[in-house]
Amino acid sequence: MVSLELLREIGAALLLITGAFFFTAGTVGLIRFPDVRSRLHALAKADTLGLGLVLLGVGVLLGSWTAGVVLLATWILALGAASASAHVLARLEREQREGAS
Amino acid sequence: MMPLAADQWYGLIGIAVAVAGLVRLVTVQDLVARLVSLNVMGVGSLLLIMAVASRGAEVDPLLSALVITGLVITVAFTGLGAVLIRRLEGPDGGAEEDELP
Amino acid sequence: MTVVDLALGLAVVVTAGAALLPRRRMTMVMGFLVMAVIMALVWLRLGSVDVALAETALGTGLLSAILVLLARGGPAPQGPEEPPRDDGAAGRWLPRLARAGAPVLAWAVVTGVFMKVWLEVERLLPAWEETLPAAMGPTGVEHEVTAVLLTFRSYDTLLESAVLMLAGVAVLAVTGTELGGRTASPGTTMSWWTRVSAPALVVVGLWLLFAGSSGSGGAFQAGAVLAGLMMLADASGARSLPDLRRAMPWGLAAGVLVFLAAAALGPMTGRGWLDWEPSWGFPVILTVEIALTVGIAAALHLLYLGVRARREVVA
Repeated sequence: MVSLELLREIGAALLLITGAFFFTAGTVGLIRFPDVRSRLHALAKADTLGLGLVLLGVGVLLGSWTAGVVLLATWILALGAASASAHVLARLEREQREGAS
Repeated sequence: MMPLAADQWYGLIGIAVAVAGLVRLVTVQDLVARLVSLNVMGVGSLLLIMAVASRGAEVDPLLSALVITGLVITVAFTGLGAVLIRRLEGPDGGAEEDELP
Repeated sequence: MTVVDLALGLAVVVTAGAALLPRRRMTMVMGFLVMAVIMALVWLRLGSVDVALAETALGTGLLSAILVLLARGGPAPQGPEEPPRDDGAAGRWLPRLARAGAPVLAWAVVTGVFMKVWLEVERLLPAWEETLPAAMGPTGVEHEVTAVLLTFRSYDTLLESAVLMLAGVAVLAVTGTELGGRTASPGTTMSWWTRVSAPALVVVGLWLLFAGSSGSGGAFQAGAVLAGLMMLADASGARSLPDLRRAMPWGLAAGVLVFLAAAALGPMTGRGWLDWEPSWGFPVILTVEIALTVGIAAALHLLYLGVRARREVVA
């Protein structure tokens, strides 16, 4: 039993660390990438994946189905919000570029 | 290094932030900058109150309620200040300043 | 104090600098938003979930939307003009240094004095070793304590909601026709997503209202979430969601009026102001909470409506 518990905690820690890695990668992309679209790409994709991994890790650590469902709902909401806002920003960028040229 | 308890540490941070907000508030010209400085000052003083509240084994409920009140009042005066600044500077807000970099 | 506290505290100071020092409005607002997120973590760290929830809903949610709208519509940044360069740069360094250095010096002195006082005094102030009801328990007033606390918190909450209502009334007073217009839609994706997520947000708001862990604390967080939903519905141009604009003044008044009516129930039944029969407690408080949530959501939404620039509004 103790080893199973330990295994779960190690798995959760791995998920959390991987999630933090993707967050860091997304942030580095946001800072380093040259234009709006590639920055949005880094932010919308890497950060959402990072958030999903972190929430999964938290769910494994909590080990309750109720918490798992709530965390899943959180992730789906964040997923939709990130996609919708990235789409709106990209569209604004296109409109401005076409207006400028 | 002097051993600091967590509540002492956050109290020090609260003082530094509140005084910084105050100094900026009286030295800056821009109205939005003043509003933001006022908010930073408020956050610093709330942090000081919460540091006092969290010295015991449990967080003091009365001071927590006071801090929540403070947050609500902050939103109220910031929102009203924002509306007034908008009226002062004209409803169209002067020059266009929302191009994406 | 742990490494986490050290890092969080330094992050608060750094983000405060990011909120105070920039010259562009949008930059300082962004710095303040990051600071609010860090503050939510600090509140959790200090052990208060209630305050963290309030900070998340009000500080990082609504306040950020209002400040970003304000910074977005403002005039071009007008920092202090650069002093003319041609009159000999070597002779002008003293006033420039004084102008930059005096605020820093003032900050350092005042902060140093206060920090010294804080470290000397903090341990001498009376500490709350246990929660208030537990402290008052042995004195034989067990039955009254909840009523006392409730009354205490009730005044707090009543005046809070009155302040919010006054802010909403002030917005109604100073803004004119643009309150009635809708915001130009940023496209169908956004409005589609708002329509899809609206039920979930309503559920979150109601959950915060009913499961609010600290009695009357729930109404503020719930009202903030509902105000955020109305704001999203307006900003995304989701036309199929109901337009609640005309209901705003009524909602604004409802919160405080229902609270006052509930407060008057006490004297009418021969008890004190804001003091109810114990068996009435739950329904009365629930009614007040619901009305308060409506009032708070209306006031916060009015603040949002008032701060939009006219060019974003379509009639």
